Amino acid sequence: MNIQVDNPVLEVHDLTVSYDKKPVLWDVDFTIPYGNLVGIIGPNGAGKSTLIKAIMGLVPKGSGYIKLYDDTLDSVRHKVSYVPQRESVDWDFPASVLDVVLMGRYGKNGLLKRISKKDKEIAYESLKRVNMLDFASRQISQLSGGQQQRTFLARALAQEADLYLMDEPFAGVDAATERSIVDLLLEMRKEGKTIIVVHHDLQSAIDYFDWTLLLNTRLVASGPTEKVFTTELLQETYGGKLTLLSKIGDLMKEKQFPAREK
Amino acid sequence: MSDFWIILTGCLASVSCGLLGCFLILRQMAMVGDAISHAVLPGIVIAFLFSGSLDSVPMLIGAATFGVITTYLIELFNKKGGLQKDASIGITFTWLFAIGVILISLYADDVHIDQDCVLFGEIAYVALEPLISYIPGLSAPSTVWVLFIVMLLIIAMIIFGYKGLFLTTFDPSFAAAIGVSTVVWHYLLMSAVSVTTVVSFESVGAILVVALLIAPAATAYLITDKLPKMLVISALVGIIASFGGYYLAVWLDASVAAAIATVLGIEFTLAFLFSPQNGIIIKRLRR
Amino acid sequence: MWLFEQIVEFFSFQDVNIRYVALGTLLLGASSAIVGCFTFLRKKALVGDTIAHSILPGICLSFIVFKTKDPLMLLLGAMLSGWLSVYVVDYISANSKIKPDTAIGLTLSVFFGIGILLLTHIQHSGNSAQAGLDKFLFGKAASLVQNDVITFGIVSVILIGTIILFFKQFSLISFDVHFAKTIGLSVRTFEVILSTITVLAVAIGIQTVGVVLMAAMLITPAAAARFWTDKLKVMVIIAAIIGGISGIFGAFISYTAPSMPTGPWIVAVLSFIAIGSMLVAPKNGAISKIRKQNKNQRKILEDNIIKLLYKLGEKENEFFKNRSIRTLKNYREYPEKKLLKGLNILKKKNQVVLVNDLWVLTEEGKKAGMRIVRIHRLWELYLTTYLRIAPDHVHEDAETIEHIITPEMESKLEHLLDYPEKDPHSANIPYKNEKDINE
Repeated sequence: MNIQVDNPVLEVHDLTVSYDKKPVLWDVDFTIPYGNLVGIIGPNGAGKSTLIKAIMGLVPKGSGYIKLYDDTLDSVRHKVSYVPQRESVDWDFPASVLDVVLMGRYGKNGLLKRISKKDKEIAYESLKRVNMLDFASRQISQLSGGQQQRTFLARALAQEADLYLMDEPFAGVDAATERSIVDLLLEMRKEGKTIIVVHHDLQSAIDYFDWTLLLNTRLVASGPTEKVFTTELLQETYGGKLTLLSKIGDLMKEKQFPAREK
Repeated sequence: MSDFWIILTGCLASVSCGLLGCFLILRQMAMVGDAISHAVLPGIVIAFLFSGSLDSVPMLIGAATFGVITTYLIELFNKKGGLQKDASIGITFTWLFAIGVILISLYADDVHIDQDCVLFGEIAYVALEPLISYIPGLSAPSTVWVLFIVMLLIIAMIIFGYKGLFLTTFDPSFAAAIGVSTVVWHYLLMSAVSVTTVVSFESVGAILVVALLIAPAATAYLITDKLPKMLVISALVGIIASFGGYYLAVWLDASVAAAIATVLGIEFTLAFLFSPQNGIIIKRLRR
Repeated sequence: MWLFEQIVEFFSFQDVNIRYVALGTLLLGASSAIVGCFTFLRKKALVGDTIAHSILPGICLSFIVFKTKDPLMLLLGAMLSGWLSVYVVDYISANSKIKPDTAIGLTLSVFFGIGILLLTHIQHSGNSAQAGLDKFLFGKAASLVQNDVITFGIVSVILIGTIILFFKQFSLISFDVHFAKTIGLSVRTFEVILSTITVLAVAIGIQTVGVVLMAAMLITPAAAARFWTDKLKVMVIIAAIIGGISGIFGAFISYTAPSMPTGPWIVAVLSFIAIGSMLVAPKNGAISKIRKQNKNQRKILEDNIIKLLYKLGEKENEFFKNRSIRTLKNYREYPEKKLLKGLNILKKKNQVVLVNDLWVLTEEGKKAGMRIVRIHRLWELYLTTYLRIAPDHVHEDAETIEHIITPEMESKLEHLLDYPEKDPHSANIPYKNEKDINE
């Protein structure tokens, strides 16, 4: 079940990504329609984070190509926002919530220009939307998990992008915060934004997402959520690794084999 | 008067190192800074051999080059060589330092680049240098001029590069995602560390340079939660240590550089114990 | 000739002094390397650096307090401050937001600073008895005397003995601390013992190589050995050998040029061996990786050409016809040089023969080509069935994987897919003979 769309906002074609020559994503191929809230679901180690990182150009590709807005990432960076996992950052860093949110404006003005009044206004607006306006001058070391997550979201909003890629935005967050984040994402979707979220929980996935990608090293399915959430497909996603595929991956690493013939 | 030059030298070195050190420790690269401060030795020797003099400019070039080489080798051993990070650092700097010492004994034995000097410098020598006047009405030993210019450059780098340094230090993934080259900023910072290290060598020696890079920043890190304040406090901590260290050295008739390092240790300990937000004694009293 | 004479003179060990220096550096190199293996594995490689910088204040304090240069007393002082520094690093990183690397750099530079403060104070106080305290800074291997070697010998025995005695426990706490705790091992105790012998190794070793380079004596042999083996016991032995050899070589070089400090040469040799290991070691070395990649490229080339010949045969329904280079190039675009290279490899394997400038498939070659084509098509089927990849996307993947599938994997594939007859593009999947299908 891999439903293709014409005129997709994101097209991933035949993507293979390897760590030290062992493939962690194998021939992944899908298209995402505009204006959807999309979930990427799969077990631990399925390569979900890697997929997002590959789309953002943070890890090298062994094969395939990726098109955003039918163009390369470099041409449309200003339209794309990336929200990394919370643990990827050291929250002891001496910075305030506002400092972090303002980072979202760096892409617009470049690194050498000073922060403008407009930048600050947009930052405050973003903080308001995530209910963190009162925390603007709070040091990030004093934030709870949910507040950290909302800070990252505010930073993403400040980028004023159209396509959002979020890596586990609900991890380690309390239920109320999760609900409020989902509401915000739905609002954004109403505004025509496309949001792609790596998510870890099956139950909530059915409620939240219009479109779902089931991933376990290879793409199991991609399509509207109700079509994709069948027992058979879920079993295939969560039913353990494909042994033969895994063995071949190990062999490729051992022999230092390239992912594609040159 | 000579007291003045000695303390001023210490202060100038402190400010440069203290500012850079903040970014080093926030990037968890303190030991890379330590490695660079040792590994620039061959660069200095080669510069001396090529230029035939102990002039600052060739030294700076030699140092910056070896700083970059060190940074590159550490990454190379780690990423391509499959060697763990701490061992990559350890092997790189000991190897380069060994080469430096060998070069000295082979070619430069009679000159005052000797191990003693490189290791712990003699800041008091600054007082013996002739005064030069680059600006009418203002004369100072050449060491002081060089340190002063480097300090201005570092301050300028931090002011103009603040956003880039902040971004690539706090969240390298996000930086890469918005198209900023983390590699460029990394090498920029490490080159600055190399240059600062070398200009400080002659006066304060390698060991004190490491202390100046790390201790003031660490102390400031415990005192404040805001990066701009941390930078200022780090510089101040170094300046206080320069004063305190000088008088300690006079009292004990000992090396000024070592005394400054000792005072830095005292300052850190005080912050560790009594910092309003992070001091462990303060925290215990609160319970 | 002169160098040769020196080699003979040195390595015949007839000169008593040479014997001491060689033995001393051998013992030092080997015992530091052995202890260093464990700090390396615990990812605390820079602790050696910390300890090296931190023993100086202890030595000076001991001198000031006890007013003696008795090596044992100085050693005691060294060990105390070395030990203290390890504790301070751990304490700072555990009890504040200061990160481990910062704690290490901070501790080593401040302790060393205090050490130099005390040292220069002593030196300037005109106390003549203090001469030579500074050998702790730079190391003077060339002036090793009998007493030193005896000390090294005793200490090495203690170090090696401790390692042998507690080998199992040290291995456990290096590899899997959590597991060690769950089986009731007193991790704390053994960490303390390990720290103590590390401090001891450093305190002794510094007198030979000096402060800055001491870290290398611990880390570099271990890192080099790691490239050659995955087994701890073997690693420790290899490290000891590397350490010992480097020690002697360093001593030798210093012997040929007496003004040369020994320490740096020992470290230069060690580093040379380590970097060499990084490149050359089989399996983990960089050169070995490149060799593997070249081998892969050769296999890909020969597979592709035999496949080409087979498919031509399949298409024309005649396998053993003479083929010119031009015919082959027409069927599939290939640079002529590469084509010839591949054909020559195949000729050596008797899979093709050359007849008057034309190439002919042999029976062997047909079997080989058939196998590649079979694997390609089976793999395509696997991708479409199990990975749910669209049929028009599987060809490129199969083009790569067909070269790597082993006979064992091949039979698994056949079995898994239940001996299918057609691939996703409806091409026949050729089997060796009917017997295989019914196996």
